[in-house]
Amino acid sequence: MSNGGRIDILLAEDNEDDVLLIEEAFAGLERARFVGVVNDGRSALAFLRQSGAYRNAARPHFVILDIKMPGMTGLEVLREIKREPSLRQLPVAILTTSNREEDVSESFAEGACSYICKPASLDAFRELARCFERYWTETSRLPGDES
Amino acid sequence: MKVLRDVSASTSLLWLLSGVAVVALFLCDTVTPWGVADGFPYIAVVLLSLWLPSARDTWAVTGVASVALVAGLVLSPSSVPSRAIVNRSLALLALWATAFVVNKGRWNLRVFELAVEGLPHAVLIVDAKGTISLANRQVRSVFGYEPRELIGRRVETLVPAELRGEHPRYRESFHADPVVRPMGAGRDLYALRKSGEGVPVEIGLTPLGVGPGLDVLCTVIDITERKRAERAIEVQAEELETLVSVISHDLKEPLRAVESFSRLVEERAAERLLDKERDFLRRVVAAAGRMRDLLDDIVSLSRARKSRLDAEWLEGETLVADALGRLSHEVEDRLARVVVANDLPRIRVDRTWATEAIYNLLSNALKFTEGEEPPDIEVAGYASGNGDVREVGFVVRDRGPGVSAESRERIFDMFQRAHPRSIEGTGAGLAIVKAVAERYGGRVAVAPRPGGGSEFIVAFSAPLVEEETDR
Repeated sequence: MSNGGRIDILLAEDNEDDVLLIEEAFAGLERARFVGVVNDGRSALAFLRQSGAYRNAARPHFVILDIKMPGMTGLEVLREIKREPSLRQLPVAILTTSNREEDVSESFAEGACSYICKPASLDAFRELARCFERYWTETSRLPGDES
Repeated sequence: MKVLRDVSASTSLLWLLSGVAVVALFLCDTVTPWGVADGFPYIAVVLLSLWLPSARDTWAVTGVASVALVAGLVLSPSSVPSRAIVNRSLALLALWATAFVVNKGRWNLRVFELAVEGLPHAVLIVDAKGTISLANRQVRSVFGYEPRELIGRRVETLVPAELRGEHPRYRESFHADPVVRPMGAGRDLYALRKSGEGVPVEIGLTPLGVGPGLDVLCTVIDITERKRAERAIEVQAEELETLVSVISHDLKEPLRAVESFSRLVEERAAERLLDKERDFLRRVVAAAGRMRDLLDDIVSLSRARKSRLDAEWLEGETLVADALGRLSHEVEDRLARVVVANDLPRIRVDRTWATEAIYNLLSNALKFTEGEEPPDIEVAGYASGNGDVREVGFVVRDRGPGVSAESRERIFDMFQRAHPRSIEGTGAGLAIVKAVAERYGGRVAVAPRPGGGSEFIVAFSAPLVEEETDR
């Protein structure tokens, strides 16, 4: 049942500190890694479309978005992704500080596959990363995984 | 008694009347053989002077009547001298006594009128049939009517339409037990202005006199401003609460950076640091952790006070079991003994928050022990039915160091700690229990436990409790 594959992730997060923490939390993982980190919504879309400065960007298997970003919000990016035929099947997880019911419902309504509140401590973040890796590389299959 | 009277026209009439009466009596006295009861009827003229404007007028009338009375002694054809002198002297005495009483009466009346007109509130006198017999000039500002527009009208004119039908019944019940009291205690009262709009009011009722036909004095205060101020304060408190909640949430973000990056330094640079430096770093991480707990508690407390409460009938055993479930690790680790009684009540509450309250009490009971002894905890039902207040809830007993008498109120306040810093916790747990209880009209309390320790009571008000017969 395990697909043993790797997942390459695009992270869109505007808070520099959080970027560092998330990278640190995922650093110990073997099968999940970040292939791109952007700080706003438009760059995230450009990366996924491999356009402009991101002409040579890798194609990620997974997208992790923050909601609160300058310019386009994470939810607007999500909407765009789900609208484009070539990007629609990308699994998108929301990783945010907001605990509001409205944000959760809207995220899932727009097609997010997961909604995670940023944990408060480093240990909790690492645990989160481990669980994330296990679920998406062992428990669930993803389109285009190497199995 | 009517509205404060117009003076001028009637005064001249009264003087005329008094003059005629005195002359008539004098003529009867001196010309006819009737004797006119030795002058006693002059008292009627003095009484009439009550309606003249001043005390001086009464003295004037009395003086003239006295002269007429004495003249009658001399000129009256029918008098028997010795008896006449005695009687006429008595009549003179009575005349002046009456004058004195009349002046006192006029003075009291004047004081009453000035008081009623001088009050900043509307004053009405309503008779037993519900008709308004007096209105002061403040009815203009409170109700929008001129005083004379209200005299003779039913008091129901001032009652909002939807309550008008009920109002006569309320009046009857007041007459059945006429005691000075505020009207509709605890309810929001509204009166109807002439323009048709409602005005929030406070009404005081005073029975005048005794017996079934008595009049009622009503004081009506327009409390629009007061309500506006109350509402403004409420709004401010809500805004403050929201502010605190938002700030606490936003503070967690930079705090996460502080805590996490300190931990990272700890992990990576531990060998390169001196013991003392490692210790400093450890303290940074610990302090950040405490701050995070504090912020979590603030948010939790805020939600305990404001979030929407569901309600369902729940067995006490379910709530206690839920709470104990969350604490199973601590119970095991500390080798705690927990005894749950079988008199737990069935109550109608929000499951999450009721469980949270019990969880907080149990968590405390586990934390607070005397010395090295393992926690010895009891959970039982609580009921109290003194007088009108019925409450039902839970009591959690521990064998901790106890709570001193001075701290018994304080410990339920936000972030008050009545114990040394060695025991972890931010002090919000009890504040949360209190917030939950109070949202259900209940309360929390602590008392010493027989044999040592404390017992904490969380009680909810009784309408939420199912009666035995309904089961």
